[in-house]
Amino acid sequence: MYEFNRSEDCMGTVFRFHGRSPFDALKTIELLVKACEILHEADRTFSLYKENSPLSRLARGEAAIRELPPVVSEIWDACELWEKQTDGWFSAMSPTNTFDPSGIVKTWAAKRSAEYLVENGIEDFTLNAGGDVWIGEKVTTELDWRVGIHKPVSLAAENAGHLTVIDLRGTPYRGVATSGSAERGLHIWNPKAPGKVAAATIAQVTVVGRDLVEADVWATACFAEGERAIEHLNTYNAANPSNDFQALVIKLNDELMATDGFIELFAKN
Amino acid sequence: MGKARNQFASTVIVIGAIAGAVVFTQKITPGFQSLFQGAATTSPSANPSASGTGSTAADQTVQGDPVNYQFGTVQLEVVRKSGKISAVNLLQATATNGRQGAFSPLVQSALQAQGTNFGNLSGATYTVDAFKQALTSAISKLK
Repeated sequence: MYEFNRSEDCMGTVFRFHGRSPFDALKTIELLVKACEILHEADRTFSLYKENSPLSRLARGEAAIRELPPVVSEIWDACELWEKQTDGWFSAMSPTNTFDPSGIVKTWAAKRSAEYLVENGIEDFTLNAGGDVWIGEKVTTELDWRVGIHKPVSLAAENAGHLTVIDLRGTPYRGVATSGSAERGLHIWNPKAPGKVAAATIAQVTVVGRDLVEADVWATACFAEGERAIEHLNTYNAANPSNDFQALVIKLNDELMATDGFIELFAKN
Repeated sequence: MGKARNQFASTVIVIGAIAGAVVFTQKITPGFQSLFQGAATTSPSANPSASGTGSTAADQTVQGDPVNYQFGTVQLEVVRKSGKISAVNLLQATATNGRQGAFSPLVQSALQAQGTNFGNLSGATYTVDAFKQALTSAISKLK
């Protein structure tokens, strides 16, 4: 058994793999390096900051989607589905009408790299993708089931710290995603606003779901929709009880709002 | 005057009470891995009045000041045992004019959960810079 705690800089943020491996240090690190390579590969493909990435070429109209790696159309199709699932509150089309799935590429890649480790025999771990958390089905410590939710301020802020803690043991949820303006400013566009201007009606939203990427999609959608997202999700959950999402909204005045099932998730001593 | 101001900022004050408790649970945790992990077990408190020496701070029970807000009064008590926040007690949580929503079960549960440990921290996607800054700040607080 080898306990690991590896942090990797990628996509402008930090990914952290933490857990216990049945293999020795050498084999474990070898697998972690490969898992991280999945993250970097996704970054090379989808970064709009890299001039020659397939997605940059697509955005400039230099390449058609069928000429790009198949993973690009896979994400494109998924985004279309998520746009429907969220009634249009999630949209990968930017205000300038280019395909920009940056918002979910991070968790999408995180999920792929976590799955890679699971397939190769490392199952007892969590992955923190720059503030979005994936929990392995087979984590063995109490602590790994518990996720703190950060206050709606930057990690670097003087008053940084957690607002509350949720405990996902015994629940079907394995992904926790948070969207807010505390770190990167108003970076989420509102797909339904004229000119898709940035959403700014709430401070932060945390969404808990079975799947990390879908939780991330809903967190982005909820941030765009604002307070009404809670009612929206309650309605969605009533119609989709086998794939529901629970959300905690922190309003600009620090008031809390949550979906019907969220209160049961708070950690108890 | 105070009344008018409170009416305006009622919920801010309630959450302010939560934020007050954060001070007791250590705002940034020293060490690389505790930056993501619940750290109530490992770090000295950021609150000067409760600061211990070394990794386990002395057992202590601290009471916050009663905070008046639009619908009543809130007062918290934080208990630290063996370096852990073992309880955040509500000494007073009154809603004088009967508005349940003012101190809702949601806020109450969120508050009670805050004193527990955790393995990961979820927040808005931080930048590498923010992460490094937080890390530097955390390390500088190590005693």
